[in-house]
Amino acid sequence: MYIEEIVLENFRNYNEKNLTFDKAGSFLCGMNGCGKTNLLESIYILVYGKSFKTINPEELVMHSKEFFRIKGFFNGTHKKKIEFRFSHGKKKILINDVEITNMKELIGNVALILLSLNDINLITGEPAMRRRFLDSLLSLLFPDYLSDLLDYRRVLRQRNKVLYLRKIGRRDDISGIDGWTDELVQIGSRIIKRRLSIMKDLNECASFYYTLFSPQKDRLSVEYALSFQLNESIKEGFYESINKRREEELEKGMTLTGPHRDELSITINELPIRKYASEGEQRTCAISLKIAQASFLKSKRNDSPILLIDEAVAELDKVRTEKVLNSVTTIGQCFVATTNCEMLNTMTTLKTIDI
Amino acid sequence: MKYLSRKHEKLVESLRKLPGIGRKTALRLAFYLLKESKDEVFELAQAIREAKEGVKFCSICGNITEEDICEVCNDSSRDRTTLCVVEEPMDLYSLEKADFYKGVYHVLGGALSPLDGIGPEHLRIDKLIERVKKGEIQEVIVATNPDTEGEATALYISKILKPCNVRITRIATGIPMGSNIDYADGITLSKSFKSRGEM
Repeated sequence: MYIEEIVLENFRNYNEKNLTFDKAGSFLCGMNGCGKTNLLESIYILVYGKSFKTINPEELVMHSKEFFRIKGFFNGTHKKKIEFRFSHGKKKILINDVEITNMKELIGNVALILLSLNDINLITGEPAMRRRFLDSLLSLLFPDYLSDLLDYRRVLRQRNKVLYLRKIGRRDDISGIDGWTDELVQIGSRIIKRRLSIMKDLNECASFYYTLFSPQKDRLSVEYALSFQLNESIKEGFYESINKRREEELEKGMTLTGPHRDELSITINELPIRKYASEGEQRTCAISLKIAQASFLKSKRNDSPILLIDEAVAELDKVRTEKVLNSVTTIGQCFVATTNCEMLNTMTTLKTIDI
Repeated sequence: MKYLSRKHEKLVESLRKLPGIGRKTALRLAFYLLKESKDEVFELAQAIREAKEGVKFCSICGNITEEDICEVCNDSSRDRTTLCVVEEPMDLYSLEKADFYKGVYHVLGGALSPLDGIGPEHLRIDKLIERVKKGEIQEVIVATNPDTEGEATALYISKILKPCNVRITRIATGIPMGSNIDYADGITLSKSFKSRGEM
């Protein structure tokens, strides 16, 4: 899918703005604070129903106004009009002029990937960041993955509560835990299976881009690191580990095995990237993962995603920047926000919009 | 003016505690009650008082009853070799209304939920084991809700009843009768495919 037109009303610094876009996307040029990121943010909100900058929609309303409205016209596999309104503390989302009642109806209509300087957290941040990366990709590919994930979190909280109450001495036993353990293993194994099912393709895709961007032709490898030893099957390994670590669980008051403790292990030339790579390499790797995610979505969903690039390439050298831009423009509609227009302009054929 | 009257506000707050009642509905109900005739309202109050005082839980299955033992447990025509485990008396009522099940029941009084402070000791699980151990029961049908709490409760029950050597079954999940496949969500569809049967 791609976006053809956007209409903004009282959104951040835009009083009234109407913009039309090419199918290929555009360069958003302008100085700091002129509203490049705000424009990317508005497209993001239409796709995900929330901002990537704030959880409070109140902040998105233009100063001294009472409401904001974003309207987007999408085209591609089919035409779709998405509208997001916020007034008096309430948000309203309409698809083709019909109000939706559940966010699930919105997510999945359009695939969109945001690349920003924060993506480096994917490499240097907590394991939870990398799990979230996998989860958001899988949720867009398989509708039942998201509900498994939400169920798993609920069961995990319930099971942890049993262990925690025992730890702090509010209860003497952990009776009832077997029911939670069984359910945790059942749902958890389905989640792990789904995650493993895409790892081979994801790894190939990410390392393809990394090698393409890196002048030394280094090898990137992304693997799924389980929090337990695989036995005959995922389920059996999961059970065995959870039974073996019961003492430790009681001591810490929480569940120590499962997809919520799994990781992505990322290496360059077989060395862990968190410890051994330079910041430039880490940034390149984060970008490779994100682009792999976009290209993966494109092939599995049979539909081009939209890519929002918010200064993500700002800290890369010229050679890498050019290669990254060439790659993203072949995947889907790209919006590149930058202050460095003269340099980037020579690299691709994207039309420039001055903001 | 924060509220119209303190007494009215107290009524609203009491009504709000009922399941499925939000602030708005509570307000509307309270205004309705004030507008109704005294007789009508006192009759309602009396009905609530009498039900609360006169209705208790069956000492065998946990169903609501006015006697010590409920109607189902007292009915000699029921099949006492089949036992259906449900969360609430409301679930039992639905099954009875559907009028196809001829076995007996066991009402747990809820589902496991440590986050809400509900452990096995708060449910009538000991009583369940006791009943099954007597040996008359051949099959236990677990009909707790198909949500995370109901599922964990079902798994827990199946585990603790294992040594008793009875057949333990779980009700099926899938497409509701009279609905359309295109309205069903992915989870429901995939579950209904997993539990499909021969024709």
